[in-house]
Amino acid sequence: MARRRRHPPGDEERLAAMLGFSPADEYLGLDLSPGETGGLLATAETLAAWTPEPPAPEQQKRLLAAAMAAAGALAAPRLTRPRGDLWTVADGLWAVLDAVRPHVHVFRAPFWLATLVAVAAGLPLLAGSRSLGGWLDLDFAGFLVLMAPVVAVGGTAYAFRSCGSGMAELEMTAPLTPWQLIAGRLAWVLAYDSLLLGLCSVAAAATGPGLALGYLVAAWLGPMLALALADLLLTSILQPWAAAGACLGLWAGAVACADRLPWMAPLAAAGTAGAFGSAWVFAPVCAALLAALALSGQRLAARLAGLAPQAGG
Amino acid sequence: MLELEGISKSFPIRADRTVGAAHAPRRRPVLLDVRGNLPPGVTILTGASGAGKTTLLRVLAGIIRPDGGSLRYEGTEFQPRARWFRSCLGYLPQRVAVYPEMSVRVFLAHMAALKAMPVGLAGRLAQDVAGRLGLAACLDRPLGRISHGQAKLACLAQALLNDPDVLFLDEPFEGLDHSAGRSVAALLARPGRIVLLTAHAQPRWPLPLAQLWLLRGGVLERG
Amino acid sequence: MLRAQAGDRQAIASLIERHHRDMFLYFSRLAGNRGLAEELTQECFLRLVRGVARYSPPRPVRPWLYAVAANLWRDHLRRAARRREVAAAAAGTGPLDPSPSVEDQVTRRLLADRLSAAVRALPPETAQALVLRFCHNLRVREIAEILGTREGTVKSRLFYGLRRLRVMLESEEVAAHGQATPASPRG
Repeated sequence: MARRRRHPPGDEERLAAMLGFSPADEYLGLDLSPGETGGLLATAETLAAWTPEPPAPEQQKRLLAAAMAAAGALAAPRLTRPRGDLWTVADGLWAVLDAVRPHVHVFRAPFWLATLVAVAAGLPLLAGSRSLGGWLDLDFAGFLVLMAPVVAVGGTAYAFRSCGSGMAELEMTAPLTPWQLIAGRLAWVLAYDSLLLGLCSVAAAATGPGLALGYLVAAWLGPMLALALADLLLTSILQPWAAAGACLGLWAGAVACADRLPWMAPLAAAGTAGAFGSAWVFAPVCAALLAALALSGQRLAARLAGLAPQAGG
Repeated sequence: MLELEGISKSFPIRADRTVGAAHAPRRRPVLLDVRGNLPPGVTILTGASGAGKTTLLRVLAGIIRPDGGSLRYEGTEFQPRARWFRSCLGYLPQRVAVYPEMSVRVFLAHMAALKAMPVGLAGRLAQDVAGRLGLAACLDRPLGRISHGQAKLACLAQALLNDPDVLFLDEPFEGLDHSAGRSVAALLARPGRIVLLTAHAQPRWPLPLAQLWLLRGGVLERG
Repeated sequence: MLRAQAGDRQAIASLIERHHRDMFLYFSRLAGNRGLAEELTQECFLRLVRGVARYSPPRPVRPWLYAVAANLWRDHLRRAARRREVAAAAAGTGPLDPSPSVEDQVTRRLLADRLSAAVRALPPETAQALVLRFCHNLRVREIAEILGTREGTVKSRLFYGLRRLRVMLESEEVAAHGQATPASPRG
C-alpha cells in the first residue's frame, strides 16, 4: 500500500519520534517524498524549538496572590480543629473563635471605651458609698445588675448600626448566613460585657460581705441577655438606636418600679441567696425572646440587609 | 454560564382602602418571568427607574428570596445563598453606605474577613486593588471623610477583593470621574468572569460587552 | 496534588511554581499575545484551585492541567468569536536586548512571529494538538484525553497540521524572500 521512500536514512524515524507515532504508522508511509519528510522534520524542529518569552517573576507573584485568594475564599482559613473524636471544650472554643473572628472589625474604639467607662462608673460604690450621684440608692452589686442591660443594649445597637443601610446589604453577600452574622456580633458584645461585669463581680464578691459570686453573676446575666435579645427583636421593626431607646426605656421603667416588681429583687439584693430565685424569671423570658427571634428571622435578615419589606427598584 | 429560569418577585403593598378597591392586588409584581443566560463577559442591565434592576441583582446575590424561578451555574442548580456561590461572588449595592469611622484599609480588612480570606493575603490584595483604583493615598482615611466617588471605589475594591468569578454591580460607574471609570472598567473584565451591571446608559469605557439586557414590565428584552 | 486538594496553600503554591511557565508558554503560543496569555494562565490556575475537589488522585497532574487549559482556550475562542473580537496584535513584545546579538534576536523574533501567526491560522484543535505535542512534549494518548478525542484523530491532526504549517511557513518565506530580493529566482 505504501510507496517506499528514498529519503536519508533516519529522517523518517526522527519524524515518527517527534510526532509520537510508531515508525510503522500509516501516515508516514503515505505520499512522503524525501523532500517532504525533510521539510516536515524541519517544521517539527522549528516548532519544538519555538519558545516565546517566558513569564516575568512579577507575573508569577500576581498569580500566586490571586490563587491564594481563591483558595482562601473557598477553603477559607478555618481555624484547624484540634484532633480527637470527642467534642472537647477546646473544639468548642476553636469553633466559637472561628465564627466570631470575622466580626472584630465592626467594633471600633468607641465601643470598647464606652462600655469600660459605663461599667467603671460604679467603682466608687465599691468604696462603700450607697448612692450613685444622689439618684439611686444602690450597692455595687445592684449597680452591676442595673448597668448590665444598658451596656448590652448599647453594644447590640452599635454592633448592628449598619442595619438598614447599604453597608449591611454588602455584608449580607458574604459567605455567611444571617444567623452566623447575628450570632457572631452578639457574641462579641455579650462576651466583652460579661468579661467586664464578671471582673467587677469578682471584686464585689471579694469586698462585699454576704455576696456570692455565682448569685451575683446570675443576677446580672438574666437581665443582660433578656434586654439584648429584646433589642435585637425590636431591630427587626425599628432602627437600631430607636430599638435600643425603647429597650432602655423599658428597663428604666422596671428599675423605677423595682419595689413593686418581685422579679426585680436582684437589683436591691443582688448576689444574695434571697434574690437568686427571682433571677430565674429571666430564663423563660430569654427562651421566649429566642423563639420570637427565630420566628422573625426572615424579617430580621431583610432588615439587616437594609431592606424594607416593600423594597423594590 | 449563569442561567436564570423564570425568576419572579413581588412586594407587598399597603391595602388600598378606597371604595371599589376591594379586589385590588395586594402585591406589586416587580419581576414577572426573568429568563436569560449570563455568559462570561459583561452584561449591561438597563431599564427605567423602578423597572426592577436592583431587585434582580438582589435576588441573584441572594439578598432577597425570589417568589419563583431557579438559577443554574455551569449547569448546576443552586441557591444564591449557598456558601460556595457567595465565595466566588462580588457585589456592589446601589447605595454607597459604609461605616464612616472606618478607614478604607479597615473596611477592606472587614470585608475580607467576612469573605474568609487569610489576613496577610487580604492586606496585600487590598493594597493592590486599592492602588489600581487610585485609592492608595486615602487607605488610612476614614470613609466618612473621603468623597462619595472614593467611597464608591472602596466598595468596588471590596467587590473585587476575592477575585470573584461572578460580579453583580449596581450602577458601578455612577458618580465616578473619567479616570476612575476607566480604572474600574479595566479591572472588571477577566477571562471567564461573569459581570452583570446595571446602568442607565452604556458606559463610555471599553468593556468586553457580551450582551445588553433591557428590563421592562418585569421581563427581559435583549438588546 | 493531594495536599492541594486538602487545601494546603503551600502545595498550591508549589504546583503553580512548577507549572506556571509551561502554562504561560502554552497560552502564549496559541494566543500570540503576552497580555492575553497572562490572563488565561491566571484563569487556568484559578480554575485549578477551585476545581481541586474534582481532581481524581490516580490521574497525573500535568495532563489534567492541560485539559483545564485546553477547555479555557476553547471558551476564549468561543467568546472571541461571539464578540467578533479581532485577535490582538502578535506578540513581539518587550524591547530587544541591546547586546551584540541584536541581529540574531531580530531574526529569531521574526521567525517566532511568523510561526505564531501560522499557528493561529490553523484550526484551533489542530493548533492545540501541535503545540501540545511539539512544544510541550505530551504523548498522543495524553493529547487525545486532553482534547477529548480519539488517538487516531490526534494523529491525523498532528500529521496534516504539520503539513499545513510547513506550507504556510514556506509560502511566507517565499513571500518574504521575494519582497526582499524581487529579482532573485527561487527553485
